[in-house]
Amino acid sequence: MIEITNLTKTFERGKVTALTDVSCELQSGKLIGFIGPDGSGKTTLIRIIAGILTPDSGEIVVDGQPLDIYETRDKEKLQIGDYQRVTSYMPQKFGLYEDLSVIENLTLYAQLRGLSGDEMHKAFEKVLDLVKLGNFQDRLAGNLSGGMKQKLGLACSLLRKPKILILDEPSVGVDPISRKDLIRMVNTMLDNHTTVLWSTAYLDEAEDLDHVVLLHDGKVTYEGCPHNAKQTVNGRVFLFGGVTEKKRLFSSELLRTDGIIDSVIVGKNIKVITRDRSIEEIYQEVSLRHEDLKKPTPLVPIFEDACIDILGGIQEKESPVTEYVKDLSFSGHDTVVEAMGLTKKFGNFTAAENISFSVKRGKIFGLLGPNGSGKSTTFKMLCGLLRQNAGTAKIVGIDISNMGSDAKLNIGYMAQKFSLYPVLSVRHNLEFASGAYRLSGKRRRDAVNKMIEIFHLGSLQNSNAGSLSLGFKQRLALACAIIHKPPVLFLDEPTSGVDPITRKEFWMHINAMVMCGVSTIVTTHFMDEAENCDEIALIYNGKIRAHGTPDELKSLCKEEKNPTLNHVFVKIVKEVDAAMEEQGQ
Amino acid sequence: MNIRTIKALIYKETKQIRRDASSILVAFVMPALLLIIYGYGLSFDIKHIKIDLIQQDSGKLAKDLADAYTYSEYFSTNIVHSTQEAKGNMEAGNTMGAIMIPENFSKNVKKGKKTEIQVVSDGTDPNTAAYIEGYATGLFNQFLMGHRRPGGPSINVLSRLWFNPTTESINFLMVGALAMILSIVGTYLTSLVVAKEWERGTMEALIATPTSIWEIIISKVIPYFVLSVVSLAFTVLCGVFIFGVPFEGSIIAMSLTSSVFIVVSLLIGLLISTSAKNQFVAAMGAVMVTFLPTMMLSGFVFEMKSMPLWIQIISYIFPARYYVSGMRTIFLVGDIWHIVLRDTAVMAAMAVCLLGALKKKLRKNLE
Repeated sequence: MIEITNLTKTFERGKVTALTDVSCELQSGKLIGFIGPDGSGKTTLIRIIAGILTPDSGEIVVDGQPLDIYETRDKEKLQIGDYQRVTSYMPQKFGLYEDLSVIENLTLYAQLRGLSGDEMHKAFEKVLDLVKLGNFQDRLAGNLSGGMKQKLGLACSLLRKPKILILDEPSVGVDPISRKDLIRMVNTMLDNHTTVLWSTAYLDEAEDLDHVVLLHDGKVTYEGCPHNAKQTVNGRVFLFGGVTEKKRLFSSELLRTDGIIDSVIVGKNIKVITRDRSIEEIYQEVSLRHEDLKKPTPLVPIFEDACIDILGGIQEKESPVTEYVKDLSFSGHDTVVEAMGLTKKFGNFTAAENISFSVKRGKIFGLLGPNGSGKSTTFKMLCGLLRQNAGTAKIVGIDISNMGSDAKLNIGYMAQKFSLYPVLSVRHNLEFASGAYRLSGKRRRDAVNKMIEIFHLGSLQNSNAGSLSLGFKQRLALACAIIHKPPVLFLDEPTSGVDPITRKEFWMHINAMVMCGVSTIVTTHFMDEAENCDEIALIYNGKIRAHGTPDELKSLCKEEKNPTLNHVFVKIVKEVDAAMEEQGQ
Repeated sequence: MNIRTIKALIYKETKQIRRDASSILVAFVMPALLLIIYGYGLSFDIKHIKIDLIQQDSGKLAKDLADAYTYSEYFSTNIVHSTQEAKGNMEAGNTMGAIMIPENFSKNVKKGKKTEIQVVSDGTDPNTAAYIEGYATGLFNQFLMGHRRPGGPSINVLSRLWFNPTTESINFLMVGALAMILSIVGTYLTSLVVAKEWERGTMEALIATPTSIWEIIISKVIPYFVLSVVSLAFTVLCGVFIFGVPFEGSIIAMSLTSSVFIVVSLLIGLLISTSAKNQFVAAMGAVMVTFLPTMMLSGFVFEMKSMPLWIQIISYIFPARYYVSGMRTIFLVGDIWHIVLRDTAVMAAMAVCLLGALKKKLRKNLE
């Protein structure tokens, strides 16, 4: 058992607080998750537990023996060196030497853990069998796919069976199938003597864990079994079915209704979480305005629902963005974005092949796919950041190949990584963005002030953008992308690593803009977010493998009772892989 | 400290060095390139400088002197007859200077009277100007020696440059090149390699294993020490056998000085990497701390004695200053032990200080 008491950790001489008074009890033999958005402190906590970071204050007791985390060399305490003999740690990015082969990486880590000779080769056999990398022993680690790297990283940390296995964000950049595989492998390792610590920003991973510690802003907001957490929202999650038209309007109306703390679009249905008010009462109130509204059906809650409840629900119930973009004027085109046979090759490698789709005004189009599937390539070709080898793309009727800088004013772009100027203040960033989009004088001042008001950046307007929390950075990035009221909005993985509340609020803003006629193209690997889209293209290995509305796609997966987009995704990827294998043989 | 751990890490490091094109590039291709540049391209010996000869005397001796200039490899001459013409040529940039042989030159020499010539050079390029002056007066003095009044004692003045008799630039640039190569391999490459481990997250994985920090340090030092030595040997062999650089001292003296310098370079590299955890910062740090001072302040390109005192004082902080001084002695003069040992001792003292600093800064920790 690991007992953690009152851990506090600050960085930059106390200026940045990463952990505040974190306490938790981690039982042996369990799969334990540290869950929280980026910047919540989970990596700091994991590093302290791995013995590679010293906290400011607090204590860690492992199986009744205090750990010498401050390296005082107190003989009474468990020395870090001895402790590290029985722990294994896999950092983010897996800690592999990319210029060494699979077997060379394994050999290095085996020898560092004191294995040699027969013992070492037996360990290799065992882990290679577990992670199924036997056929790739001589391949350089740098040439492995994300999923394979992750498996090799895990193999390296399992060479000598650890008492505590510490995995820091093992599932980042890995496709959903490999993620499932990893959890399965880790589970086979568990017994009374082995504890696995697993940190993640994905709430859906919590479903498979025994015990979770939910972190938010460096504090523990929930600790316990995810199943128990879900119990607290049991009977409070419902689905309003059959809302085909104006689902966004209806969803935002529901959110404003008393007693509803969250409302999300799921295909043509709307899912709500209630609090302090019965669903009957709510239904009665809402059906006064919508006569043909069906009675909502209860849903089995997922862990994310519990988290939203724990974090207090959605605070902001209406997006002020509506007011800002409502006077948007459009040119005559109804089809705003058109891709026809887009193909991009990098050397021999075809990153995107014959990609075609179109997006109508006021719709959200989602590009879904694992890392490296070609969705970002497609995305970049559409916004003119990358030149295609074949095919054409049009934005508001203008061919992007000869799109002048005037035409680019039609586009708002939010990059995947934080791409603002970290040493400029919030206000200066907004001023720069508005200047770059040719706003000037009073219009510019008004636009900047409006953005600060809409996204609640008032108290932060003079802080450097780099010092903001991830949630605020992302709001600022969105503000910079829409400050010139573009009719088309491109969002590249806009919500990765962000906490669920901020994510919901972000989507509320997007939905508000879409209701005003803005067309949006979004890439995401959050399957639940994809439910917000009107249309989805599932990209894998450079081609569109499936295309349609969320409900159409879900109907592809008839074998599941309640199919989700995740099921569809897994199914399609498996089919493609099987077909490829057949071809290969 | 565990020998097996160190062996495993060194094996890994060696593999990485061998697979990394940039380490081969830095250790072998760069030295070869530097030698070629210094040997053939860059040369501080100036030959065939274009000058005008202002012939105002038509006597035989004046002609002899003019011939002496014309056939000298230092000058390429053009005979003019007026100062005006020479001035025009210089202003147009056609010549770098002019030598005037005055009227009555032949007569005066014969009589044994005091004779002078006038040397004019273009001060916008002070280096060349100094060469013109030096070569011109040197030749003139030799000429006078050969035409002394018969009967007088025959004095033979030989101007000689010691320790680098042919004044070939490569001979003294070679040592500077060595200092540069060793700082690049030792400091630049090492700090970059450690920074790369931080960036890729492998350092994090490494320090979470039971490996101690000293094992990690030693396993970085040894392979890069070996790489430095191999690169040194390669450069010296090329220099001596291909470019004919003289090697007056002994291999022992060279090995001693060089080993200490390599250790100092490696320690600086490791020290940089304790604070610079990404490759860009590490590269900038290494360039600032080693590469630039080696270039500017080691006396390898620019003569230290002609610099302001405070710069001279600063130059003593940098190990390259001592290495260049010691190695130049070994290459061009021989084993002058008191110089070699003095320079080596200073560098050894630096190594001790660096080791102390490293020990203080290094913790097996992420901060």
